[in-house]
Amino acid sequence: MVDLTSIAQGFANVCNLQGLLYISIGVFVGLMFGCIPGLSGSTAIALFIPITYVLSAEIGIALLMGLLIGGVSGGLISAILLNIPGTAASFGTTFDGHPMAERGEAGKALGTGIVFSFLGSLLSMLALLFIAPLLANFALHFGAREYFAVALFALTMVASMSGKNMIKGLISGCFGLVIAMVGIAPIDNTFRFTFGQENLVAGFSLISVLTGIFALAEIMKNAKKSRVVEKLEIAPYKFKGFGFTGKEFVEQIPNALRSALIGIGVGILPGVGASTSNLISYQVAKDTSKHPEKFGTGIMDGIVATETANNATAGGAIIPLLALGVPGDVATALLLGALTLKGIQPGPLLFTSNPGLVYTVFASLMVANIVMLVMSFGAMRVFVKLLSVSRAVLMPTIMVLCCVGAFSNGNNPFDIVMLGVFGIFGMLIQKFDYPITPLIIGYIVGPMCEQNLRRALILGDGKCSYLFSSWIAIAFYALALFSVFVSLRKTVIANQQAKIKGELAVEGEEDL
Amino acid sequence: MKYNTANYKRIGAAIFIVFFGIMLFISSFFIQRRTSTGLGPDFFPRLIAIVIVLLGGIELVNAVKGYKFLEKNGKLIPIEARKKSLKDLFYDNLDWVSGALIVVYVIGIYYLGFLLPSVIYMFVQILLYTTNKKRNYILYSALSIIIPAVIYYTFRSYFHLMLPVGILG
Repeated sequence: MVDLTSIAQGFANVCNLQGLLYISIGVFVGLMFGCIPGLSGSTAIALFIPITYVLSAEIGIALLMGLLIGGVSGGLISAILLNIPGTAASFGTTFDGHPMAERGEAGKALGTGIVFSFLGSLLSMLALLFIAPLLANFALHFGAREYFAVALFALTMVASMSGKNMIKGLISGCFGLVIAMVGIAPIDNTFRFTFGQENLVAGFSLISVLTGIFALAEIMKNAKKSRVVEKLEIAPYKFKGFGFTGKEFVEQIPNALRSALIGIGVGILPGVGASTSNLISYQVAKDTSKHPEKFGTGIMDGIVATETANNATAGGAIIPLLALGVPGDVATALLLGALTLKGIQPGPLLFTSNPGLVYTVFASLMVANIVMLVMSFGAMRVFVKLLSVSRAVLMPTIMVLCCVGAFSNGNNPFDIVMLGVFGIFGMLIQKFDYPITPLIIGYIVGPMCEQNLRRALILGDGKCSYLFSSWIAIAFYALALFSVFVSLRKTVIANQQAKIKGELAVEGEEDL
Repeated sequence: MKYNTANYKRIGAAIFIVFFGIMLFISSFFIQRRTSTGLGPDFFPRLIAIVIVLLGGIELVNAVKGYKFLEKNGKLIPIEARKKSLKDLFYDNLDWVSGALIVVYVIGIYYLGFLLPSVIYMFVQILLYTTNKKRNYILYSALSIIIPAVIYYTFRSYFHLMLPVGILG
């Protein structure tokens, strides 16, 4: 089942000077973006997509995987030392990480976080190695109707990412679909919503949309936040080995395995990301612990649960990306965009047409994980220093880089203007409390959804019944319905609880 | 009693969404079809337009219900007692000011090329980020020139990316 030749080829593609250099750059930048609150690994990926243009597909993948692993691992540094999670994926790490740092055990907390992040990634990569080919093999039987069902399932998962208001999340997802409609329509290549603008014939540039909505909105928001003076108190740390004993490590293995399984499972599901898995695994670790009362006071168990799970999720999300061509979260949505721009179409066919490239992803992740472990321990001083870098210089620099990135897509200054437009749009929708993650997923999955729906209906002579004539498709429709039902139930319960407690959201209650 | 416009924010957004959905639906009829049979390129936009109108409608109902609930319980946000000075308004809306700066910057690149607008943008944006801090104008000026210049020359010489030179080129 496991293709050893392709695996060897994958490692050969990245285990050379250039490959290792770009993986190291990726991990370093990812850790940097991950550890600085307000930035994230996804922003780093969006920012670096243009750089991959000048690189070969293999080296481009190596850089992106480095950014992915670094981005998800960096969040623990600020979570432990500042009590501010660098990314939402490390939110749960603050619960026990910072109390440990306050007790003078910052080195132990960091060491635990880094080692178990490494293990979480490692376990998810093993899952990737064994599950992805099976899933891809199964997906080889998929036709247009099955792919439409998969895309629909991924789109309904946006409901679970919608925060407290599911309707707003779904509307946001629809806006993503609308943005993706601009340009040439699939199948018959008709111009759509181009308003006679030649620059819009190919649709909005992926980089302009993603970096605009993601990074620019952040730059604007941070300008306002900069008025609030934050005196950052960074807890001192000192490493001694990994920071914990062998006995402590062995004791944590069941917790780590359970958290990794949760992380991988959450990662495979489209739409649910590491920001959810770290909290779920923390809660499960607490519920199954012999000493739940100690959670939150600064114990290793809490850090092990959250950091193993969030890294496992990042690896798990690669499985549907490679096997089905469906992104699991925002980071993988960006990766899908980046790979498509490089002419690589992830999906089951890639496993047969270019297995070397598939395993380059796997090899890059493995190497990036090792680099992350070494770099986190070796260069911790640098990352801690970065926590106090002035946002006033960092944010405008990122903006300038965003412009370079937008331009590099097609050497067209129009894309830079659109970057600004999408920046304002991203800011606007967040001002009105509409989540942006569903929008990104809608934008990325939209074309797949439309193309396969139209193709399926052509194959079925325009009859809708054709869409339901496959058991696989029906299974995905059932999953889609189930995900909407679960989200709906969650929202209704949350609203009822708020009503009982008398808590009124400014939004008003009884929201769907 | 007058209330703060923040109370109507959600209702306004919902009305806009319904309006947008209707506009999308109408505009889908202007998409030229190349074939007369089967589903054309207008099908999906029309479908999404209908979904947007439906979701927008639900959101509007929820927004109105939420408003009425807050009104009934006297929880609406009251209007500011004191008129804000221009300075306060500026500081309160630093995010939008930055947004406006970014719009001017990207348009500036379109016409004037990359380098000059980037230097000006960097300097002004740093000032916007340091409104309540002691400023070091010499350092900010130096950084505003050095950073865009390094980025410009790195991408031009190493990545062979011909960044726009605009009318100054």
